[in-house]
This record gives sequence, C-alpha cells and structure tokens, in this order.
Amino acid sequence: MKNIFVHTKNVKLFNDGINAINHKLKGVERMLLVTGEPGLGKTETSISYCAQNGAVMIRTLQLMTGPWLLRKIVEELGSAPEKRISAIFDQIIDLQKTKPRTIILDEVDRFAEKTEILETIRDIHDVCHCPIVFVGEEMADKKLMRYRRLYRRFVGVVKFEKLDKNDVRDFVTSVADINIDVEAIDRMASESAGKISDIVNWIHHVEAWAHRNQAKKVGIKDIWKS
Amino acid sequence: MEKLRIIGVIVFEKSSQFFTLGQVVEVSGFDRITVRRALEKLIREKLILTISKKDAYQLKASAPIDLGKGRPSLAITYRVADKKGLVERVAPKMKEGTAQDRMWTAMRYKSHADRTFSVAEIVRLANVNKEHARWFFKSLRRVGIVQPSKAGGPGVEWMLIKDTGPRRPYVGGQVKKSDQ
Repeated sequence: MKNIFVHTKNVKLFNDGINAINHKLKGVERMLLVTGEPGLGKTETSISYCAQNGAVMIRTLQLMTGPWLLRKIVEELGSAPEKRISAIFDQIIDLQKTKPRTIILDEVDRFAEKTEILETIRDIHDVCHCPIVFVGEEMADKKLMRYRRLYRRFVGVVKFEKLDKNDVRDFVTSVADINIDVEAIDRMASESAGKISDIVNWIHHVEAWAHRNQAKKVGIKDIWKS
Repeated sequence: MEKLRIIGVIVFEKSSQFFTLGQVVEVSGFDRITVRRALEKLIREKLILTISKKDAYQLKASAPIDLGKGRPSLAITYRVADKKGLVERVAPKMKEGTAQDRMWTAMRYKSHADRTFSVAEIVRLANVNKEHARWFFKSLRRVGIVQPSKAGGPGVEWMLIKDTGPRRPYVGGQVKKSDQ
C-alpha cells in the first residue's frame, strides 16, 4: 500500500474553504468553521495543511483559559510571551503584522460555553485581520450559532462527511499497489460505511491475499477469500 | 566562515570574563593569524571590544607604567560587548519552509493530538521521502528529542519527549559515536 496523503472530497472542501479566507480584501471576513464526526480526518487534514503551508495549529483543552490560549498562540507564532495579558495581545498583533499566518484552533467546541475566549478570538481576527479556522465536532456549528457576532464572521462551514462510493474508488485506486475491481471497491465502500480506517484494513487484507496467491487483479469474489 | 563560528562559540563561552588572543588560540587550535582576523571581524561588528594595552595593564596596577619601546609584554585583552548579538552571529542559520521544517511541524502537531506518531504518518503528512524522514528521526533521537516505543521492527511508534518550540532544532553536524 502506498503511503500518500489522498486528496479526498473532504480535503478538497477544506482546501477550498481555506483558499476562500486567504484573501487581502478589506472588510471581508476571514473565518472558517470545519465540522464533522470523529475519525473523518479533520485533525489529520489540518496538520497536513500546517506542515505544508506554515500555518499555526492550537489544540484547545477543556481547562484552557483566555490568557492560556493567548500565551499558546504567541508561543506557536515563535515568540516568548510577555507577562501582562495586554502585552501578549499586542505581541500577537505585531507577530501577525510582520508575518501573517493562518491560525487553526482544533476541538474548538470546547469553547462553546466560554464566551470570553470566543470574543477574544473574534477580537484577534478583527484587529489582525488574520485567517482563523475553527475545527470542531459535528455539532460545533449549532453550538457556535448562538454567538451571532462571531457566527456571521464565518465565510463558510465545511462539513466533513463519510466517503461516498466515488471517493472510495479514488482512494483505493490511488493507494492500493494492486489492481482491484470496481465492484470489489464498491463492496468495500458498503462494508466499511465510508470509514477510512476500515477501508485501509480491507486494502491490507486484499493485498496480502494477492501477494500470497500471486494474483495481479482482485475481483469481488476474491475479497471474501482474503 | 566555519572557523569564525567556532571562534565565536569559544568567545561566547568566555563572555563572563576577559580573554586574550593566546587563550582563544589554545582552545581553538587555529593559528594566531586566523584567530586575530576572526576577532577583528567580530570587533568591526561591535560584538566584542578590545581593552587597550595601557588600560589592561592599569587594571592590575593603579599607577600608569611606561611599556617602553618594542613589543609590549602584555597581550591585548578582549571582552564580549554584545552577548545576544554574538549568539545570533554564531548560531547556525537555518532556511525556512524546508522538508525538515514540514516534518518538525507535523511531528509537533501530531504529538499534541495523538501523543505518538510513526515515520509513515510523518512521511504522509509532511510530503517527504522515507529516507529523509528516517534520517531526521535518527538525528532527533541522537540529541534526545524523540524516543521510539521499541528498539526496532515493524510498528515503531515515536514520542516527542522534548518540544523545543515551533522552530525546528538544529540537527546538522553531529558525529556518530562510532566515528569518534
């Protein structure tokens, strides 16, 4: 099995969403909300984006307070945080002015009850005019909807969904080392219910079977033998 | 350039005291001309200062003494003027946005999310080749930044035991123990 990062439909939507907020237009908001069930690759996609584009990702914690988050942002932007909160806020603005970077906040639904933190993030966005991406679970958009001033700043909401048949076909053909029949792939898609981890397991089994039997092509009947 | 950096590091180690040309020569093992040129360059950059022979002599003796003609018996004394500047001058310069940067970012964020990571995951997330990733992991392990879950074999998970921040640590110029 090839070890590559496959650009599925979800990843493409994520990239499109980020491209939509990475603009230089004044007065146009630059916030994005990404939601989806656990295990669909939201964090993985975010890490990949950060690694390739130099963005900053902060994994939020339940106990996190406003000052803690601000300090964490400064540290991730590559500087040592000042002692006073006002100075830290100024530091973030200065750092973003000198080198603007996208800030990705993972597991952001943990802040759903923390108005102060959400308002601080909104302030950072308004003052720096920097792109901020919120990544949260499937109900995150509903939880954040009640903060109207924050919610209206979201340019778009990207929903990560389970892979459909076409996505599974693309994924399997780009990842598998052997030729797998389309019918067999469709069967894998229905059996795995679009979960990538299950599809990967299927591919491993099928490849092992093909290697043992020196088969060059795997059909629908062969996947049950594996 | 490399010699200047080595001399700079020696000078930095002596930043809390005065030092002479002879002392730097002794530690570095370079000839006097090379060391003098390097120190002169650092003086021009205002990173170190010289104390005049007369002043240096007067540090020990309260009354000014005539040094007389010919070569003075006392060596020129130096001291560090800008410690921070010297650190920046001698620190290894690293490019940004390299494959190593991508790997380091992926490692840190993967570690924040899942605590452990594998070479294959970093290869996939950072979009680098396997050999480069394995070399980087090995280098980081040598300086005690990452640690494998087991000695070898398939399914090795790695853990970031020292997070040095968003700037990737410098891992170049290390010598294997077997090579020493």
